[in-house]
Amino acid sequence: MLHRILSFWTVFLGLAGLLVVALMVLFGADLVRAARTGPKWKRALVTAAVSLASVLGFPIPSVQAADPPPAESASVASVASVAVSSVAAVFDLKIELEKLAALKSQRDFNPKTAAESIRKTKACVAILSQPSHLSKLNDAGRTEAKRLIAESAPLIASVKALIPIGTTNLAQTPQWELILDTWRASGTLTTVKGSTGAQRVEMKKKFDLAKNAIGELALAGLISNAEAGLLVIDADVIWSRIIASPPTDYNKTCYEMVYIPPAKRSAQWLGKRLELVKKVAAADKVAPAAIDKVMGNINAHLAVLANDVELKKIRTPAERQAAIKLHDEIAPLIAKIDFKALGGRLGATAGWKTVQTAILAAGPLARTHRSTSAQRVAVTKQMKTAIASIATLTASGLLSAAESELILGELARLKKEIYRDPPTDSKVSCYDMMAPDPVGDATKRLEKRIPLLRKLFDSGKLNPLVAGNVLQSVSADITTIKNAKKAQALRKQAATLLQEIDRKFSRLEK
Amino acid sequence: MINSNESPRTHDAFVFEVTQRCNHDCPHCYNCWKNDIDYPEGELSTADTLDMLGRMLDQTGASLVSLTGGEPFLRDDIYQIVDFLHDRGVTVNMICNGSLITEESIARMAGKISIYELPLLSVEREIHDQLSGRVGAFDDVTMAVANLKAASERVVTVFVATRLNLPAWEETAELAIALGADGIMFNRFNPGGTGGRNIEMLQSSPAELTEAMDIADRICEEYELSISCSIAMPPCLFDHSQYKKLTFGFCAAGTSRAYYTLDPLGNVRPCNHSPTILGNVRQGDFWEMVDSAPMKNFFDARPEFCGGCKLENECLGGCKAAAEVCCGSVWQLDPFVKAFADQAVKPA
Repeated sequence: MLHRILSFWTVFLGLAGLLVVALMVLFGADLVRAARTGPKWKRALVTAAVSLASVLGFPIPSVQAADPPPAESASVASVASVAVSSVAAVFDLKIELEKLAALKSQRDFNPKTAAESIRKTKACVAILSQPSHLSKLNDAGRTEAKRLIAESAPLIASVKALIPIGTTNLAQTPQWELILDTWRASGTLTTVKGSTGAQRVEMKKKFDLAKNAIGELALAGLISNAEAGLLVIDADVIWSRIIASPPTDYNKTCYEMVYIPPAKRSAQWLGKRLELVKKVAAADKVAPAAIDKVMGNINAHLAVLANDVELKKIRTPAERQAAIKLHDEIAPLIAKIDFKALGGRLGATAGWKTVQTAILAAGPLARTHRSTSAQRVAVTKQMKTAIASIATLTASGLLSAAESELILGELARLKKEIYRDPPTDSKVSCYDMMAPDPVGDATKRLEKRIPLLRKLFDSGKLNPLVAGNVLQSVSADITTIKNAKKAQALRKQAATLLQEIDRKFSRLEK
Repeated sequence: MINSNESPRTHDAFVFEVTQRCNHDCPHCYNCWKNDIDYPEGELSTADTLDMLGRMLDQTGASLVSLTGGEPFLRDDIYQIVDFLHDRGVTVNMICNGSLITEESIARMAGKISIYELPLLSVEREIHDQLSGRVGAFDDVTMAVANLKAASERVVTVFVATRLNLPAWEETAELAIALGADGIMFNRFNPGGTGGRNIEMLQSSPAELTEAMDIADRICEEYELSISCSIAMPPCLFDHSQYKKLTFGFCAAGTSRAYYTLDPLGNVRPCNHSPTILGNVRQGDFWEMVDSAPMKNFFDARPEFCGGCKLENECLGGCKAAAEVCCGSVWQLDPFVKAFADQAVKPA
């Protein structure tokens, strides 16, 4: 073990010193006095040898470590003495920690023994925490020192926690010291500087220990339960302040958020299920209840892949094409599964329903040739969905090519009829054609046309032949009036006027 | 298959001037070959005409063609032209003066014409005849309307509002209703062609037109009839907001609703009022004409007078073609607005 923490020169000088000390002991020399008086090199040599002897198990009175030499003026001897002092600290710390561990396992021990050991442990930690001492050790020495330092604090705390609270002075208890330390440490993390992820992890551990300490003080009666509760709440409040903003090293942590476009997510989700979907589609029978549960999700993901806006968010063209290909592969399979789940009835499938919806919406608009711009946009969108459904149903074999063509032809015809005239709400462009009122509205004008005709005829402004012709078409239009009473009245008016025209025309002819 | 909204470029409608010949001589006629310019005149053979129409349909994908002239029925092959368009699945509108419409011609066109558009310029026979440039025009057109309505065809009458016929506007509208018109176009006189030389005789004032539009709005309400003001009524001279029923239109040149006009020889123009030839569809590509510099200039034109008006990009200064013909440039103000600019109040 020795060779792991000591350099060659240190060992050589140590052994030399050991020889000297041995001789001194032989001749009854005062080793303590020798370690404290005389030239510096002598004091260092004696001290190192004594330390080495104690490591090797020889009972020699401990001497205080020599003053560490200034780093700049290190000579071979002084390097050797400082190195050995650092070594001593390492070994002392190791011993004390072993003592503390033993006390901890005993649980019932003399508090003074524990306190003394804790004091020594802290002294060694203080020495080895100084960079000037630590740097004098070799790599293995430094590693060992750091390990022991890391073990010290928790071990001290554990032993302290076991020391019976034999005092009524809260401030004197190690628990209260721990609580104060914890609050002091948390203060640095609640500043505007914030805290790193690692600092938060350490702080969380401290708070956990502090809460244990709070409990112990309450049990010992040194604080009331209410006071303990307040302290715990305070701890939680401070913790929530610490974590209110992201850690300062947020982007460097592994839980950074990454934006995955919905279409990419859907493609990944569906891709994993493709083989299963194929199997289900190929099966003779499907379980409707099971399919029902899954279908909603699958259709939702398919809808994302069918959305051009979402597809554009996949930046890589190859990935985008793959997503489109996946959609085109899965959609017909889903249609087939849907069909089977519904007992083989095409009419009940979602795809067919879109076709029905489109045709039902387009029909009245096509028949009347009257539609607003908004209606045209809506029905065109429905037709687009229907056409996509027809393609899917045909690909899945639920519609034959001939049936598909038939339906597509009907949709085309309906669209042509809808767009025959300009929209009824459109701004008429310069010299645009109008969309005249259909016969339905013209019926109301029928009642007013006959009096107008009479007025024009009576004024001589209308050619009797023209008037007669007009009355004939009026009579034809009267047949469209549903109200029988009104129709009859109008027929009578028209007939009367026609008779007058005939009479007048006959007189003119004669 | 359904494609019109998904193909990259289509243009839904165009006007075809079937012939430049006419049996009327309207003082308000805007036909561009009647301007003081050297405009190409003539007609192609039936075969060449159908071929040309076919090219235009192929290139535009149009589903609506308005036949006009001159007087379309002066062409003996008008029925073949209509049959050709009908067989191509195109909706056909017929703009004619009604003088040559007979029961026989109506029967021959049955089911192939979507709307007939005929002028009804006054309830007063003499005024209508005067504004048609032919005695007997009134009787012919009223009979044509009656026969068309008897055959259940759709008819829209056109009232070209001038100083001469405005006083009888209300009664003329009533005549149109009595005859069974399905709608009325109230078009203010728009100078150009022969009309460009008769501005003083024909041009009415904004006040006179406003009074007529008040009557029109009431007629719409009373008779539940559509009346549209298809020639631009600039908002700086007319307050559109006070009319509940009237519909107003602005220049659509260069837009998706533009009425590119094909003349009998295949020349394409921005509209039937403009004399600018963009190209000939028998040799050239329609879309190259649409994208050409002259068309872009036409589309971009905004009169300086209109700067600052909130409706500048909607109204576009009135009729650009009238500005082009009467004032020399599409960037000039519509001559109607120019004449009454001192009364103009730009919408803020």
